[in-house]
Amino acid sequence: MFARDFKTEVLPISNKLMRFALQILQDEEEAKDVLQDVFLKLWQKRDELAKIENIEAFAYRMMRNRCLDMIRARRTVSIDLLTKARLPEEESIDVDHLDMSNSVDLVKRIIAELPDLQRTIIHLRDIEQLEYEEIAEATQLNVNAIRVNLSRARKKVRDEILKIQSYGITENTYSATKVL
Amino acid sequence: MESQKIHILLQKYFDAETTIDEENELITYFTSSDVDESLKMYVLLFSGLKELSADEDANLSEDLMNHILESEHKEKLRYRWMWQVVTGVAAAVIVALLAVNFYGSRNDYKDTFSDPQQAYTEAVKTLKFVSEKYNKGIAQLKPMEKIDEAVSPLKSGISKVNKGFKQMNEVTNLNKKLKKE
Repeated sequence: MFARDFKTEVLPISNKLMRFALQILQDEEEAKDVLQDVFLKLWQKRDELAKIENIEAFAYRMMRNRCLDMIRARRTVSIDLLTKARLPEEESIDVDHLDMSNSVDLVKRIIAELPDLQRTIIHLRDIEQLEYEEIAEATQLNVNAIRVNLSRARKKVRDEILKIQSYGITENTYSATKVL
Repeated sequence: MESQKIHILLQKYFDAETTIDEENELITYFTSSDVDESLKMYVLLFSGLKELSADEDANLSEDLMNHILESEHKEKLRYRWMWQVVTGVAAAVIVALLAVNFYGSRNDYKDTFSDPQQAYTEAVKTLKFVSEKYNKGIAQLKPMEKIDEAVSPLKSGISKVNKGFKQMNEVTNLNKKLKKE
């Protein structure tokens, strides 16, 4: 694959991959690091990319694996570092400043709370609009398992939204902390 | 009528049985201004999903390409540095080998003359030089001749003594013969 093809075929999926990494990692800096890593790898392997049927699904798979590696690496970080890292995070959870009427924030946060697989699948389907076959390639699962997980994820997101809406504005803060 | 259809689509959506087109239909419906009152609770979900998928950073591709090219450049510089070190070491080794070879070859015997006559005169010259040195060495041995001279009277004296001993021998032999008889 020539550099020109790389720019027209691979580079445009960067935004999708960035959203995906953000959804998994919930940290913009880490997401960007992983994204740069993945794109550098893709660039270095650009000669082999022509053989790959679906570059997008392939890239999603790479991205997911690298993100999961990142999460695993986080767990091995010393407790000292963890407590330091957590402090600003706790400060940032300021419920009053969360605008729950903002649908993007709300949906994003509810999806972020889902188990890893459900989160990945609902993201790839409902945000990135990938076909089931592509999700299968990205997650190495069969289509049936994907449908089951997707259905569960969608229902969970729906239930959370309905719960928040039924509490009304005054109860929003309570639900928001639960969501978080 | 439409809300009926949407209800069915929603059912399919939550069972993960809708196609991408049907899902887009749902998004279009819920982000329009004309949503049925009984379905209003889904507006948040679908408008949120739609906005999430539009969340883009226009400079991202450019940043990535810059990052890629920058890393490649660094990699190239590293390789160039490595290459310089390797070639430098190789050049030093070659120079060392050449030097060793040069000094080694100096001791080799070579035909330095093409004309035999010239070689002959050169050889004679060299041998003359050697014999000169040799004669010089011999000349230093001259004092030994004096020792020789000094020793010569002793030689003649000793020969007389030797002569006497010989005669004595003859006398002892005669003695033995007489005894036997």
